[in-house]
Amino acid sequence: MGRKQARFESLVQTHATELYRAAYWLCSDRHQAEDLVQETFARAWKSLDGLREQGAARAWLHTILRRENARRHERLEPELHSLDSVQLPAAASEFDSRPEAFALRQSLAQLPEGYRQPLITQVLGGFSCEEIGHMLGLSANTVMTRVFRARKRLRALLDDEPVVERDTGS
Amino acid sequence: MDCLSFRRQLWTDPGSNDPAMDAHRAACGACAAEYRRVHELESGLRDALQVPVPADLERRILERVQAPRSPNKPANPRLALAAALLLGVAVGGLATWQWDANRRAQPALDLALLKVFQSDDAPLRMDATVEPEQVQAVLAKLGARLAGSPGPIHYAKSCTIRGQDAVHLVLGDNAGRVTVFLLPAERSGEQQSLIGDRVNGVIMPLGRGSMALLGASSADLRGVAERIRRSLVWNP
Repeated sequence: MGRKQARFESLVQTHATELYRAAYWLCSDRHQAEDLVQETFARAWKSLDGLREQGAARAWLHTILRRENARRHERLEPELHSLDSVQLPAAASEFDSRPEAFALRQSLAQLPEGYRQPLITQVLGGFSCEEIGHMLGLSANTVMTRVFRARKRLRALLDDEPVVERDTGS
Repeated sequence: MDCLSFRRQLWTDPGSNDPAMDAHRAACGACAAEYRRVHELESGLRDALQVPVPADLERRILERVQAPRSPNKPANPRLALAAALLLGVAVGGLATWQWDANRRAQPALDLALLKVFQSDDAPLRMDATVEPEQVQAVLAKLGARLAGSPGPIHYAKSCTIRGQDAVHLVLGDNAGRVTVFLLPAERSGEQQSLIGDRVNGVIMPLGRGSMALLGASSADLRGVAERIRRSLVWNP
């Protein structure tokens, strides 16, 4: 096995699961999520020589994943226009079926996309606001504001309270 | 750090390991309570976002990346002999590759099963059962038989999955109906979860091939799988 191949296989073993989950919450469909992850790794294979630091691999892969998802949206744009809203599978049977998990997914589905994605990326990947900003093409301060507001909105939705927008001051 | 800074950072990055936050939390009861509240939300979020990952995802990724690559011709003439020897291997490899390509042209096994399952016209009445002789006749077409009873069988028919002969059974009990596909031509290295809308399932190795079980979340898939494993025999 060549060095590049060994390095690539190590990346797949380490990051495939996490990327699949991130992909799933981008497209809300497990088959599309697998396609997205496969496209991501196919592109990563082609660009692997450009990855100098192994420690940067995770954020690098997530960035590729998001670019691939954006390409997919460009390709599917006419079909996506016919959708009324993003369908998050709050009730799908494959998830944690406890009422509180269901309520959380329902509340997540009510968040604006611009708030939901930074929050999910932070919760699932544990990335810093700066890293998320790099992936999403946003400033770290904007990410901080969005995840702050996303959590506040979630809390309000779960507590059945009116949503009050307050800035983080950042 | 004051309460405002603490809460701003807490709601922005609950996973922060900032020592100043720890110090403030130790000194301020109200912020310590807020910390617990936010972390409870965070923990619930993590659980709510967990999605089952396909068991053979890594293999499929590696296969996809490796599939388009082709071996290079040896540039050095001294490698010609080795190349000639490799030709035989390559011919065999090509046959395998073509077989794989044909398999890839078919829908994924889980999608094919879900399609048959969703268009399932098996009877919904769970008090009706199929006569054992009829079940044995269906199984005989696959080269299998029941040496014991896996429990009442409510439906038994031959079917075709991805162009291969298979058997479609419906078993189940009070926990719910379980649809079983016996797939002697589908090799399965390890157990794989199968998930669709309002259906749970599993594909697992069975004899020379595989068995897939699908049912509602309440259905006893493992129990039915175990009963089939104990009672099904493949003819030599």
